[in-house]
Amino acid sequence: MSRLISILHKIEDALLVSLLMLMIGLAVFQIVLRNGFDAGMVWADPLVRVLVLWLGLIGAMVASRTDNHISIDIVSKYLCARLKRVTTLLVYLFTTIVCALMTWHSARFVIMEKADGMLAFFSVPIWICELVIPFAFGIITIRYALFFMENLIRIFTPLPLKHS
Amino acid sequence: MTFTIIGLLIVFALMGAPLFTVIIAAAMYGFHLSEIDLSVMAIELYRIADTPILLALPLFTFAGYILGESNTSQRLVTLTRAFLGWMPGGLAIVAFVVCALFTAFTGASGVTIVAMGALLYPALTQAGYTDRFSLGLVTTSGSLGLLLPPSLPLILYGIIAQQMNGGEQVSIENLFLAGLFPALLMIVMLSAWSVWANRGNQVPLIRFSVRNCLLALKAAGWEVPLPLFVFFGIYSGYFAVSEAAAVTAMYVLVVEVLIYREIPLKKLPGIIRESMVMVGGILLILGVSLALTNYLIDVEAPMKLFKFCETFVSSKLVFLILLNIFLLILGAMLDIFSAIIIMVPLMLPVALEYGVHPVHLGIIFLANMQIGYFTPPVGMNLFIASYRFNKPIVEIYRATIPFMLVLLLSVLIITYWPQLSLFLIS
Amino acid sequence: QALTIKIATISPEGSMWMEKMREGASKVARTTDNRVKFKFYPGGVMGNDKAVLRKIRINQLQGGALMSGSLSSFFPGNQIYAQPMKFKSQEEVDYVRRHMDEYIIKGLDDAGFVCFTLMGGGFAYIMSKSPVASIADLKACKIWVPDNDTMTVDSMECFGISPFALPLADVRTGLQSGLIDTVGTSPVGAVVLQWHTEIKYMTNLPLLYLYAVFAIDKKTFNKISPDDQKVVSEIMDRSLKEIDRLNREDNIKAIDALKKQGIKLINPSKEQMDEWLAAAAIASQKMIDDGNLPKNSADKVDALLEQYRKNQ
Ligand code: NA
Ligand code: NA
Repeated sequence: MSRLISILHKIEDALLVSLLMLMIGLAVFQIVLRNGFDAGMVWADPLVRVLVLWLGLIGAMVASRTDNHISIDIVSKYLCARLKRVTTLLVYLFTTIVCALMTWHSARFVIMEKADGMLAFFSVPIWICELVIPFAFGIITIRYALFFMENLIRIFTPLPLKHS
Repeated sequence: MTFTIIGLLIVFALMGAPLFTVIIAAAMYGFHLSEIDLSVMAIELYRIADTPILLALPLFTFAGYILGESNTSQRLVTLTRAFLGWMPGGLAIVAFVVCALFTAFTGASGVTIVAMGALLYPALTQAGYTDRFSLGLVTTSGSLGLLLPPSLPLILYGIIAQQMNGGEQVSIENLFLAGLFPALLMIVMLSAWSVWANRGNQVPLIRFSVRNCLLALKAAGWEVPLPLFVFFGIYSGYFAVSEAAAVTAMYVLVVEVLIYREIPLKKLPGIIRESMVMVGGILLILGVSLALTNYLIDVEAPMKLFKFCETFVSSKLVFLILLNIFLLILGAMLDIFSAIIIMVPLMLPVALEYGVHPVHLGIIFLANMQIGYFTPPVGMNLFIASYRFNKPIVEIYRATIPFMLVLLLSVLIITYWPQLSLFLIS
Repeated sequence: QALTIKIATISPEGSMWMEKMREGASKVARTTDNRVKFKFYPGGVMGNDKAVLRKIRINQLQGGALMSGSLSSFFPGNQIYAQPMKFKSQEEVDYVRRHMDEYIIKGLDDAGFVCFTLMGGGFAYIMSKSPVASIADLKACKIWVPDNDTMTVDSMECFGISPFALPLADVRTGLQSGLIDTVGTSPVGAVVLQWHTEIKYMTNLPLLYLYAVFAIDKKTFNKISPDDQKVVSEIMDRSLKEIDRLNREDNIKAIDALKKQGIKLINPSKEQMDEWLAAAAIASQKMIDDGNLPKNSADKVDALLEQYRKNQ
């Protein structure tokens, strides 16, 4: 299990690095072509825009590894340890459900788009570019489901006694 | 029922649920009420790939992270000291200028306090400024420069305003121009106050030396052109904003990794990951907020909000005062990116009805947010400074308050003198 | 029972298009005793045409005022007017439209969109900072195309041009700064978007005939009772025809405004003209070969034009 997770982490990291480098390279190459040779690659602009979406969503996937998303965490500072466990558990449950719904509906969207058969650039269909949405939300759902389980287990194990 | 749900969502947000899930839940609930198929969420999210200017976001963020990881801050301080250190209050002015420049590139993510503060705080105290003054200055400077190009919040405001039918006048280029003089006003007012506050204090001045200037210039030779070519590249028409971002990212990568060799190749994947995690966080909130905004437009919420405001607020002036108060509170509670993404769609249509120029609104918005960064009790930079300089938070509060008052005054000027922002963009 | 039809468009609030559409809508509501109502989302708040079509599919929206090209994947035949340099004058367009509009409206109806009448937007012209008379002149320019418009990009490539895609909002600053120096747009477009202050020349050669459609999802339209359908069609037909007519007047006024602004018309020579037309013919052929345009209807347009030109 933990090997599987570390492989997934490596894949995510490698994707982030290569997609970002591809994005920078393509964008700069376009500028050189346009200013130096009055030429350009028509497919480069839509591809780069799709890369923004991919980078963003994979970045969001990676953020959920450590539950590192932007949030307003004001209340929990003032809660006792026991209550805090409960709120954390509830928050993980809420996040899991919302992300699962999002995965389901974006998967439906991709299936509809596949039926439409529109092209993004070259002969790459749009639905392939959109596939990242259900995929990323699927992974985020799984990660928060695991956080939830972990905390559920912990809540039923007694607090460790403090030895001094 | 609806109020119960809204209440529940607010409770979840305050308990620390990721903001994007709260927004998704709110949008889905709304669309569900309107009997609209929920795959609309993905349609809206995919609009990210239909917005060319968003390319600037990952590229400038990446460039900012690279600059934050290398010794750019040190070279920048040496350089500015060599040029401005001879003036009375020189070192304070140095601090304001370098922090503003650094923040413009690194996006006010707290990097400025961590990187610049480490250099400037000891330098200021050693030069004879009081501890409290130095602390306040460094904490305040952490968000200075939000109005200078290519600041990410400014770009983000432009993107959202364009989506909101703010018209073509809210181009990123116009926002960059509009921010210049308000930012300058803030720096000048802060500098003037610093000189006045230390008038009885014998701070030794650094003697101006051409040799030192040349040495500092040479050391930072690869970094000095950066702000220049971003700004002039965009305005001379050589680059579009997103292209300037690409060139900056490439340039910074080559300079810091290959020329200065301050970032080993091994560290690069980690930096990329961190910067893209931040980009992912912002883009995800942006994407799902597009959906929530879409729902609010569907039910004509901005119009209803305006009608509601109209019964209390009769004039533009009163509206602007209330806007300032609201934004200051918002800025202290929410991080700047979420605040822009969530509030601008609601606020812009209302402000337009009161006759506020959309570009001016952007400047007002960010100027207030900038103060929100160090508004007690919860401004983010207060905590970062407390942590970084190992001082109790109350001491940081006390140190920043005079600076905050000066900036409040400048925000009032910026708010009620639109021409200061708008005269460059005709 | 009451039916609300939600329509999205990129036309800004306050524009003549919006005024006329709202006028028609309120007349429809009055005549049908509020059984049929329209609700508008102007200014592109629902996203570009692609996003609008997706929202029509899931029934968040029931229609849109769309550029004709956006519907070409549903009915390629609607691109017969979008062939580059096919028409020499508005009169030629009028003649062909009299015979072919019905074909497009019928085709879109079969594809699931009720469109009433088409709204002509006049010709797009090449407008530039330096004079463009020949293809070689154009090749030396930095020319703008709307992003997300593969059709235009494809036809540009037939002239050997690789254009520069920018969102509409960035074009004016792009012109100001020199990032681009050439645009293809209608005279009205140039004036409304304030591009005309940045350009100096207009090539006197109709580049492309532009038109838009007011498309309603047919499933929704069929929910209206037959009597009310007739009312809606009649009233909207009248409003859209009014837009069509006003567009034409506005374009004539806009050309005057351009001339007043000091913009010079460039007239290509006979040889240059032949060169343009030869390249344009290749572009049309490519549209047919790529399956973006049905051959028989393109031939029909050619035949109509020949007939018209003979009678002149
Ligand atoms: Na931040
Ligand atoms: Na803040």
